[in-house]
Amino acid sequence: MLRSLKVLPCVVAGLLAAASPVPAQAQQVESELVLITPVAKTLTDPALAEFAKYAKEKWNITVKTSALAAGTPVAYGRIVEWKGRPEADIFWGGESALFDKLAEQNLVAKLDLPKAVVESIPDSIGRPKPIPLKDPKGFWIGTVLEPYGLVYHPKLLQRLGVPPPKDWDDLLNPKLKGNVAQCAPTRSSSSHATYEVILQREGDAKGWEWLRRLGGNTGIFTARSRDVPSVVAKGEFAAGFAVPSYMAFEDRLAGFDIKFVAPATAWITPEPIAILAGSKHPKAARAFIEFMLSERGQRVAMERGVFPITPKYRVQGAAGSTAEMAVEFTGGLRSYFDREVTNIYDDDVAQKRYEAVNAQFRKDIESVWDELKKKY
Amino acid sequence: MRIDIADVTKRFGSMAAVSGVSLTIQEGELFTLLGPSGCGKTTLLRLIAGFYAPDEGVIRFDGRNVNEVPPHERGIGMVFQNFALWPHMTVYENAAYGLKLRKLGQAEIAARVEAVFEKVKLTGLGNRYPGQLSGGQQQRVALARALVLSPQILLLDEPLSNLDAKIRVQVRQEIRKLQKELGITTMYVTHDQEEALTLSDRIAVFNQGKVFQEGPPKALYERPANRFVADFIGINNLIEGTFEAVDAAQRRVRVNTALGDLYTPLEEGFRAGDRCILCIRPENATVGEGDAQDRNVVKGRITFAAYLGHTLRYDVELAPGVVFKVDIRDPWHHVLLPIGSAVTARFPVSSTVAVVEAAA
Amino acid sequence: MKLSRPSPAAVGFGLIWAFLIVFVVFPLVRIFYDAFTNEAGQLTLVNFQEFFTDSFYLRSFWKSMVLGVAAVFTTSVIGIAVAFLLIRYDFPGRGLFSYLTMLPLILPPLVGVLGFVFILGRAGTVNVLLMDWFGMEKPINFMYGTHGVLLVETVHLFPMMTLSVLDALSKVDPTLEEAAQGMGAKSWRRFWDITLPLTTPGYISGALLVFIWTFADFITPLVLGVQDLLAPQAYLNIMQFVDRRIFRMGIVISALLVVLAILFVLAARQYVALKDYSSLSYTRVQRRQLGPVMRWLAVGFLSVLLFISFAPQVGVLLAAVGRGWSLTPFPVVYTLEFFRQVSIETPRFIINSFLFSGIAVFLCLAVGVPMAWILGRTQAPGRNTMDALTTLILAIPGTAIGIAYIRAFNFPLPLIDLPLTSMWVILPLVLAVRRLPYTVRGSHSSLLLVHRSMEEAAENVGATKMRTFWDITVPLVWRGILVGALFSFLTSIQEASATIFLTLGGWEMMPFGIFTFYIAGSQSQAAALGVILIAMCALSLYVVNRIAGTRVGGLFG
Repeated sequence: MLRSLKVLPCVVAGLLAAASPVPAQAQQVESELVLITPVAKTLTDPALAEFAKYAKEKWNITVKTSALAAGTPVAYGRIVEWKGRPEADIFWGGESALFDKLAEQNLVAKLDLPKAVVESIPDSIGRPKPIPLKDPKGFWIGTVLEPYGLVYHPKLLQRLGVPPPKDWDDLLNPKLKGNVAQCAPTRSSSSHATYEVILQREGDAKGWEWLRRLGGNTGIFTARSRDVPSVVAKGEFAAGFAVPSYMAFEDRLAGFDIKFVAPATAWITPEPIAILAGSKHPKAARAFIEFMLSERGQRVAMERGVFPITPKYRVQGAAGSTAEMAVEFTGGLRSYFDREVTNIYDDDVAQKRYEAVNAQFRKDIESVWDELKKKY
Repeated sequence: MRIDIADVTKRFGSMAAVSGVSLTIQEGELFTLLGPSGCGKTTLLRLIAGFYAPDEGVIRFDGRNVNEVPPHERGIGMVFQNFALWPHMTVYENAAYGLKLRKLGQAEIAARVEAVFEKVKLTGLGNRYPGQLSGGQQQRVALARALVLSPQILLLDEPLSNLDAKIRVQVRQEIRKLQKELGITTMYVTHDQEEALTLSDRIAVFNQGKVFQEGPPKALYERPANRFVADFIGINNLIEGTFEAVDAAQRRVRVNTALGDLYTPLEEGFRAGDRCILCIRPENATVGEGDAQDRNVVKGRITFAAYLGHTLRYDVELAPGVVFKVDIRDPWHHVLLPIGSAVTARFPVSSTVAVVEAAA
Repeated sequence: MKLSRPSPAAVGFGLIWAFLIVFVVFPLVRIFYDAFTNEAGQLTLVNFQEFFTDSFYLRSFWKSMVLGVAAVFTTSVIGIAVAFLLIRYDFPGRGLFSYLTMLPLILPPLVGVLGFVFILGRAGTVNVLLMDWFGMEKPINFMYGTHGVLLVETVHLFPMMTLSVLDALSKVDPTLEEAAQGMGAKSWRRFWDITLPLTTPGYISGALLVFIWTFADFITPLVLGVQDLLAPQAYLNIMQFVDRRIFRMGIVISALLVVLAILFVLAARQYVALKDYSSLSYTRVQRRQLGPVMRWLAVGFLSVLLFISFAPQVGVLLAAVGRGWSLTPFPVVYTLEFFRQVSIETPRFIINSFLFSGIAVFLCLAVGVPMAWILGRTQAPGRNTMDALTTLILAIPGTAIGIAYIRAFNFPLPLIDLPLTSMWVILPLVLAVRRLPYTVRGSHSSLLLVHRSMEEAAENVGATKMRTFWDITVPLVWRGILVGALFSFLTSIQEASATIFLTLGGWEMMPFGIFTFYIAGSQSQAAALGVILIAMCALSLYVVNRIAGTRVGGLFG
């Protein structure tokens, strides 16, 4: 019933369009748009709201937007289970490798974006391992740049007598024992990448030893990566590992005293976006992606603590604006294209041993956590 | 209306609650089913009411087979043991419900309910809820509810068992009076033999799904047909024995018992060698001193005396383990015999009833 | 009821069985099929072999069992004490304390544990007070770890134990105790020898519920960072679709949860007849006065309990109105912005909640009332199986049902060519199935209050079966059915274990909304929504109470 009710406006709109003597505009959109996304609603909600406004202005169409919040693995799993009859139109966020996997299974459609839009985005960023920002085959495209770093609670650190952390290794400070929050890589594919950064940084042996020591310092393994900044913001724990900038920024916006640091080797994701094959609202989906890559869309994202995907824009706003607050929060950076980006994370390596790393993490760290706490 | 019950059997699983029962209840008669709890008497009542269908046999009302007739078309009024008053309806609504179902006019319903309320002395209580009434009053509501439809048969399932002893006596007289007045064929179920004896035109003694004896109260009391009836109705001294010599001339039989030879009036079918039970009501026996001279006199010793006001009951041990009850019906003029006194128990031959247990 | 001819009754009977088979038996069979096959669909025991040779899973298994037993123990001690005090003794504030038993009904999952963290967490009110005022250096870890889970479960579930024991205790004939008293048994002796054994059936069913609830709760351990338990393992494994092996292990663990639930139910049934359908009418017991010392001990104990029990509600309320609350005993900046923020989406959540729970209750009534009638009034074949199935539903973890539904109903239906999992009806359906037992029990117990002879008396004066049902049975049982239905409604509207797996965009109910906000990191907004849900539930509970109250005191008093 609800479903047919949802469809009804489309039918009505369609009938009206057919009856209208004026020829339909070249780019009409459907009146509905559904995202499935691991990106937190603090970013997706404003983006969708702004898009709806834009659609109303441009085509005078009220687009009913909604976002199906699901962690990357869940979202991926659902898309696979839908078998080409998706309940959503757009998949936004997660690792580009998963988008490639979906493309192989014909579960995402080609984007067909205007050339100028595609070309405004560089192919990749970072050295020695370049991070691809768009799919050469055209199935997905990056939307924002989002670093994964550390968070900490300044007041609590002060209480503990620990200086603010600058790099990963600062989390191993013995004074932080029991005060570090992390989310196991088995539970979050986005934090998984940061674990790979640790492993690839100095080689596996040293990397695992480092992770074991981090385990010894850990006070909580949260169920989800999003919980890490939350528990730190509240002051339950003093520092958190592998946190995306915008999630931490949300807690800052909510009034918490929380700080974010992206170490030099921090993993950066372009938050890829793609249209699901068989989508019921392909035009609205394409319009949304174009909108996100336009200045207006990029500004919405910049207000939430992530960085533009193209050198065309920089995070900037009036003094005291949210954008300026974000700049201050992320350590003064306005664009990743302003500076040399170091990236040591090799996605091919990571994807190949994805399950092996998970299994080892489970065996060497999660299941012996109590012993690690005693040992280190 | 006459009720004929012919060879009716009702089983629950493998257990027969009513087994091959045949009875006839005459028009206007108050007929009682008497028996211990669990004997099947309520099942028989519910078969007549139509809540159960017989597995075998036929029930006829005035000759018409009613086996397939649903309860409400049988013209039966029923009073349940727990009264089954509807707690969400007033007394008036309870009584009027059946009339309302028959789509009678308000005025007529009111008139008929009032008439019945007058009969059962409920006038003025119509607006109360059942929960606000005493047990006796609830009983009357149940009765009124059953009678207001002018049924041709009234079924009463242990209607007095939830009442206090005093009220019980009062209500049972009222029921009896009402029944005679209305001339309604009534079937009454009870386990209380005193209630059965006082109320009934006829009684059927029921046990283990079968009728053990049927007849008017006096016949059942004075001429029990078997050990069960003899034991169940009233108090009886039962003495086992064997017929020895039939004295046709004197119309009596000598019976050999553990207490020696006793005599009983000769009845048809008594043959020497048959085993029997002699039944002597305590009120027919006396105690005396001195020697045995007459027939049916046995020496014994008083072991217990119970003073009941209108009666004094002695337990007399006639032989080791054989206790014989004797009622003195005028204790005012009787000097209490001390426990241990040696006495003779005397009972006339005419009131010594023999029940044949097993033919030789 | 004759079932030999295809009467309307037989058709209804068939429909009820069809409902039970399609929506209860089939999904469970499907989840077992999944547990016993590999990705290629071949039958195998490999999954269970993996489970029982993996030390982490085995530890989770044992820890879950131990935690369940521990929760039964703690809730027994507190629950029985409270029940006994409330029903047998008089002391100041007894009326107020009796509300203790209602608390779990207004504490949605997730909201409870979040509230606890706000008050008792490392940076919670209590620890901050201790550190700021008493110079304590490190916070006391009340919450993070198995002991924290035990604390939350105990506070959440002891009222369930109290209610079960209270019900049984109120039905103990006081003369049985007086008889023991007459023989010289002292009060404690009497309690152990007579009273407690008599309440065993009620106690066992309460204990079973506590055990299974603790066993099946995944949200509380996850928030508290305890992952080596079965329920969180099932949830976490399933919630990552990428690694198919881990995913399948999640299903295997769910299947195991179902098997264990069945075993526990069977074991409990073996011990006592669990189908002791409680009625709402109690024998009145003369309450005794407590001595002065005991009285204040009792009041003290109950006050502390009440205080701890209300901690989560207070915590959630503070978090909902506090901005940037961190490391202070209470929020420093107060705001209504979180309520304003959630108010955009809340109307939809509320509409969905009422719509789906309403439909669920309607389904519960349509299936549950006839079921109660079949169980209470007929000799229909298969009654016992039906009865057992009802008890079983109560015991099966919501996670397992949600997963079973996803697995079982994900195929396109003929004619409409859509899988059931893509239609919103699946939410009311799963809610109806989960809450069906409450409706069946509520209807059944009120049906027991209507003596057969009341219906027969109506038939005797000429009412047909239908007429009897409407004029006699319905007026006498509607309150009981309504209370059962409202209880189903109340618990549906707070459901957040099966629905989490089945909700798609636009179908979100309140608890899912809370979950979404929590997942998105907006704890304050989750708290604000939690406060709204608690208020809605409290209101519904008030209605239930009013109706149930009249019922106990009025007509049947």
